[in-house]
Amino acid sequence: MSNRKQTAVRRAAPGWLTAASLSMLVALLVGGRLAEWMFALGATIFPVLLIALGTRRKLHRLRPWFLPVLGLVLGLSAAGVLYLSAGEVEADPIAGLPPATLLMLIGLGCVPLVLVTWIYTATFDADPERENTDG
Amino acid sequence: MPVTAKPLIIVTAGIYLLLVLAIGVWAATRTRNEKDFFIAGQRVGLFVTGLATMSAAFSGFVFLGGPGLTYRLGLSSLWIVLPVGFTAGLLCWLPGKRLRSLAGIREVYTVPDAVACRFRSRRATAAAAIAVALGTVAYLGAQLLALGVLLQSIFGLGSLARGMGLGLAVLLAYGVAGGMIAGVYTDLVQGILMVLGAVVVFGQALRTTGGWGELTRSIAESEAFGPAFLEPFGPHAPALTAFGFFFVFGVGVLGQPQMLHKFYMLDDPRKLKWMPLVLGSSQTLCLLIWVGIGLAVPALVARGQLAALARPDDAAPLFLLHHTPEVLAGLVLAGVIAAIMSTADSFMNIGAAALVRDLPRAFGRPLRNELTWGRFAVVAISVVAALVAYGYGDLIALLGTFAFGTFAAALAPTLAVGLAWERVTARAATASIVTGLVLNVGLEFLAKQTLFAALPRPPLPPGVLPSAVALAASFTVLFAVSWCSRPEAIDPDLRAVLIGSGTVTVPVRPTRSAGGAAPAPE
Repeated sequence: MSNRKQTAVRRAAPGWLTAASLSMLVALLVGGRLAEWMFALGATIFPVLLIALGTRRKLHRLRPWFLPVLGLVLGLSAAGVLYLSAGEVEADPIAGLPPATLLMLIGLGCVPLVLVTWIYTATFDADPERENTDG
Repeated sequence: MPVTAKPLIIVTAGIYLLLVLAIGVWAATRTRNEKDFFIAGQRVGLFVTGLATMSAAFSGFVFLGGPGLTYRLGLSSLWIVLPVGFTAGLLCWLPGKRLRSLAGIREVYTVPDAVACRFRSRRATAAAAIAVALGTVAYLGAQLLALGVLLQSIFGLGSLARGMGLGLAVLLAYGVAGGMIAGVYTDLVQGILMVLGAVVVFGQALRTTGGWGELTRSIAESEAFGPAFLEPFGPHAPALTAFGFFFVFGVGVLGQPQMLHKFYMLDDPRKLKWMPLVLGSSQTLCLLIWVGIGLAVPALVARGQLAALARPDDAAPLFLLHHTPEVLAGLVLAGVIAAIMSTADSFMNIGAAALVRDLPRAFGRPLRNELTWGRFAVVAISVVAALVAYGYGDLIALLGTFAFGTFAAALAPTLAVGLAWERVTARAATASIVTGLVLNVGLEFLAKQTLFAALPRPPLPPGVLPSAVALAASFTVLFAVSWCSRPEAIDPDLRAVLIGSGTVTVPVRPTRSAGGAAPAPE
């Protein structure tokens, strides 16, 4: 991804955040099965869009895969939990817990913890001379 | 159960309360001006700041309310704490680094100070200060309620009011005298105790119930709880409730003044590099008590080793008093008291600052002696919070959720987006804060009130959290008004540290390792 495109990620973030917040509000006011899916995906992707807005070019250039991967992990985990919890799949417990609960703990808790902490620290002071002069 | 038969517990808890008072006395001698009182003189290191942020965020809500909520809802209660995986990074990437950089170039002590700097609007500042004051009453109330429940159990005080009164007295004794210096150093002691206590209790919970496999099997095979107790949405939390928790606690963390306030205190902004590691790991370890006691108590009830709880909030005290060795119970209960008090003292300080600094300044009438008035305000806001909590009459976690939601809906959009995106205008910030505040308080009032029979229930689908609606609406209003408004000019130095365009040098307090000036951190 080129520098120009990476900065565009941040420029596009407010538009995506507007769409996401409006979609979540509508889902919460309407309710129903479709609203559950809409709100679940919105709630898990929203923090990723906020990070895109809050970070400078450094993160986008050094780890261009980070935000898409984080978004995929959170979004797919949320979708997986909803699908498994719908009762359409019979599955034995793993380590004493239903697979949906395990997916919830790992995909929405443990993996983001490791990924976010590592990337924040790894990109914090890389190439500071260049990064203080741009957005 | 009164613990007069277990004197070691009383002695340990008593020693801890005396230690906290001693820190208050020591801190009082070091508190000389408003900067010391409100932001600990901006001379706090990374480890202290990280643990203080963790202990301010994790409170009676986590240590007492969490196990209580798990007893009632099952593992679906974990949706509240799952976002801990990314919230530490989110905090640092968005408002954290910006607030710390702002404190390097302007005199900012509070969250409404930052709003005033960014938007130069009295309306936006006043709205933020009112949100902070109202949210403080609810959050401080939740802590005092938790403290009352705990002290009543430990000292066998006979009534909740006595427990709350004792806790309030100790809090006021060190909070009024020592301000944030007392708060931040007691937070350090409390944070260490909380982490150690949570880890040890988790081990004890597994040992008492025969290990993880036995524990989950007891719950799944019982009639009282059943396998649904371990499912992500459990028997009582539909998907909209669960993801509502995830949204409010994952994104709403960006509007929590008790956490954001701590970023002002860091002596060197370059140390933010390690903040997510310190904050995220300490929070994760503390959550072991939520899971440990939250599952151990239902397992014990399922096996008939413990009577079913009449009040779910009693889960943690009962487990500690009945199923842990006496010394360990004393230490962990001190850790739980620590968790509650560290959050409470943060709120006493933040609420006082809102009343004596932010609101008068927003109305153009700053007070002459904010330090003295701040001490009076600590007493006033604490007493009001205690009265509100005493009359609330529901779970600690639910009062805490409402308080968290109030800060989230009112402040998160303005602080997360408003500080990072230059298109956000003063009008958009004001509209967003007012929308979040009015919706959250209004919907909660409609849901809880019993005084006026003619008033409707909140017009929301089943399972939808009022706080989630208020937060989504607050973000929507912020973006809508911003897109529709003409962009406003931002001072070049503010633009450099907040938006990230241009250059600025952020001063750093001299430290042993580095002095002078440092570039604004990423």
